[in-house]
Amino acid sequence: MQTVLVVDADVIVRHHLAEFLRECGLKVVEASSAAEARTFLAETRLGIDIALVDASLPGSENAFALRAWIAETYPDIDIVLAGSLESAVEEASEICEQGPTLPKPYDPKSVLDRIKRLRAARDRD
Amino acid sequence: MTEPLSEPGVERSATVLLVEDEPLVRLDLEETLREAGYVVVACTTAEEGRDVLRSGLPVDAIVTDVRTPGAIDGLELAREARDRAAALPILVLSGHLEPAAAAAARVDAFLAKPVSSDAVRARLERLLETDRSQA
Repeated sequence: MQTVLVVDADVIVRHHLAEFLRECGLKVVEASSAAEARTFLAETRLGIDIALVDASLPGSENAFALRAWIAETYPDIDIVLAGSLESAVEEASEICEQGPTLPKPYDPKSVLDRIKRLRAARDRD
Repeated sequence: MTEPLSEPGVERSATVLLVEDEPLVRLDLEETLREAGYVVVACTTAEEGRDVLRSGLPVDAIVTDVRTPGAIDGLELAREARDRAAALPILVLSGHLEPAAAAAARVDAFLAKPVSSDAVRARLERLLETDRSQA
């Protein structure tokens, strides 16, 4: 089974991308920051194959620095930077399509729509 | 409150909002709870947990650490959750919790850290069973 590391600071985005990928039959680990991603890579034996990283990751270490570190330290990991919510969902769909196990569980557009709806409700509250 | 936290009558796995800032502890709890069949919304901070509540994502139970980074802690999250959903099971994990603070936050159960992920799962299951039997 392939293992995907999803790195996104927004819990609503991270959770829905991760659940979509889990429904595809992939193992998924969620990190909210570059520091957490580093912890999972350096301190566990999760055997991560793909890192799906929000390109606008906030914090002291940005997504590009994380990508450079992963590429140097774990050259076998495929790193995908997503520049927008739309591209993150699209990339998750691509990862799902390439996976060896299950087909896409549901339309990726429904994931995008749900994330947008929940974020809008959060921001209204 | 803008939207219900859960959708009565909808067949789905119970969703647990988990708040734990220590990534390896969180990962262990997440895996244990997912293996038990729960959907887990994993949050690093209580503020993230509050974001989830405010989004209207259906949540059936909360498991939260008390001391998390950010503007609010796990007890403040518990208070907001209780105001939104009076019957929502809330389990608090902490190494430092004052009993009076737990009572003020109206949490259902408290486990002192360090605690095994299996003990958390077992306590959560009992809380959800109680919740179902009272529904």
